[in-house]
Amino acid sequence: MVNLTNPILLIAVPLFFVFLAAVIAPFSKRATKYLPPVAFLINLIITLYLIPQVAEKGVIVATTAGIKPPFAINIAVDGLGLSLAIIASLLGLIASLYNLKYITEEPQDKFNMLFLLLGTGITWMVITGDMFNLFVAFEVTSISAFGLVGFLRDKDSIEAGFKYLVMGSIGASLLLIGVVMLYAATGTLNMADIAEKIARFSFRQKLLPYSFIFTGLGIEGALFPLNAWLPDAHPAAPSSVSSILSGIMTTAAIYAIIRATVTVFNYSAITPFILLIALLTLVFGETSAFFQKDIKRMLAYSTIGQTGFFFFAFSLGSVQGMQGAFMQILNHSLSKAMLFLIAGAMITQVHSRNIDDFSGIGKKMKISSVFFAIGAFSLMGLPPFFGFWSKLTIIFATLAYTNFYTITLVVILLFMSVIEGAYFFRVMQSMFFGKLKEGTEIKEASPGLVVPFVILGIVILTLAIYPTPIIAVSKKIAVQLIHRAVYINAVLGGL
Amino acid sequence: MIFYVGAFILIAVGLYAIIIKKNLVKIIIGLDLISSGTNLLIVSIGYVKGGTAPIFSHPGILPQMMVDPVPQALTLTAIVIGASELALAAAFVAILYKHYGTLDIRKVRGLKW
Repeated sequence: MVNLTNPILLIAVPLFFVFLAAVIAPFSKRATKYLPPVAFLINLIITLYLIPQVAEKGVIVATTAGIKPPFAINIAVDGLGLSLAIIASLLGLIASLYNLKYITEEPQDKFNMLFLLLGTGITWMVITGDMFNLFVAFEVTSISAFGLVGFLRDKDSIEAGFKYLVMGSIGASLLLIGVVMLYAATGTLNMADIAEKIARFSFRQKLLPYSFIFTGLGIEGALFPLNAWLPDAHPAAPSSVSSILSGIMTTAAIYAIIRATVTVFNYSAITPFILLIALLTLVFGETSAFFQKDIKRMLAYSTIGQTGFFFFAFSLGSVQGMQGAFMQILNHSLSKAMLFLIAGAMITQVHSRNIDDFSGIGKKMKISSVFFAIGAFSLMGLPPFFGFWSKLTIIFATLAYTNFYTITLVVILLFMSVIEGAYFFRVMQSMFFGKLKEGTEIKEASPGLVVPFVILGIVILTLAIYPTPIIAVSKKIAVQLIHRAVYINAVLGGL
Repeated sequence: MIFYVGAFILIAVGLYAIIIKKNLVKIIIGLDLISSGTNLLIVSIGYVKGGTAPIFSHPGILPQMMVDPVPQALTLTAIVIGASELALAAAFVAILYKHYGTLDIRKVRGLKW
């Protein structure tokens, strides 16, 4: 009986399938496209198996080579990491099912390998307990993302991919410098061990390595001055890849920042600074999204805005803020991934990415348009949907943030939500009430494209109907995140 | 100390090349300089002058004369990653050249930079 509950399997299984794809490819390139769904399904099952354990123990630790931390590389899964791993596996499964029909360009075997690697890297990033492993996972994720962004090899995607590659590599180097500085200061790479030893450093001593790590991860996480690559890279990729990039990859980078700030550095003194960055990200993303004509570009800018939203909630530093951040992450990942998949399905029919060309397709592509509306409503936070509860929690957390500017912050948040609603309603208005262009042949996309995002839509609807258990769980996760001693003891206290 | 200075000069030159230079190949060279500088920084953290490998091969070796092996392992990993990144960058530049027939970044402007 294989031990199904070892979190190392979350990395090992998809990695095994990558190499399996390389073995199968010479015989049948078509067959490789059935590997990603299988790998992500196995991952999803493993993560679901891990839920009771994490709920019971708090943090589960797996070691390599039989040596106990802090001397070996270890994997530490806590509530936040596990939930992100579940989201990553779910989105990977959905997007790879979508790929079966969607990706027709060659070389398919290479695409599937890169896609699997992307999923591996993201899962790896959210469950690792080691700073250098974080860097390696970050690089696995970003290199496969560079390849996937440039996959179509036309002018736009190559240019976007190159731009992303240059910025991403600089970010990775900065992250590595920060990690090495931490190593030089504390003599260890284990997150929990660093977290214990960091206590003897002052605010100023922590500032230099922290800023390197923050900048490095911030490039990938699309924080405000560093996100010039994202509005080009996310639209240029195939839609299924954009859904993964927007849905979970930027979130994974933000997770790494959260982990570094709260657990590793215990750096609450830096909060005002990251609050400002998050606010700028929010304002920049939402206002830029408002002026876009290209639907995928609009969704990409909306991702920047959402990132700012939950990063803002996190940087409030309270339990309620982190709860709101987690809920917003969950809501954003599911809805944005679904919106990108639907946009991809619509583009296959309309053959254009311009929003004006989408007018009137609500009458022809009924299922897609209705689910687009569901995703958009959930994202902007209309009452029955989960987005409402997450935004409400964030607003309450902001009101509880005792600061002179509290009211200003709330006003900015609400105003940005209104802008978000405005551009989504504009798209939906043209979709449902616009005039269909003469002489266009538009019909519903093929079932192979529709079924995956309908599954995701059902998940979103379920969350809308039963939000209470998830809200309770997210509160637990937030409490666990803020009590960093639990994490440290779980890793260093042996198994 | 000289290693740290050298490492940061390499990183600064690399950043300069990426920001100022207009030739795509020079930008790639800049990326390589940054990763080389980072690698030099990592190795020099574990370096001990006149040190030896961390193996107790004969009795006279003291632990404080040993070079820290962890940064060297990190460097090896970082070199491999950097190499694959550069290979990908070179592939991108080759395709860009096919599309535009030039390596000048001012002429490669399909998107807003």
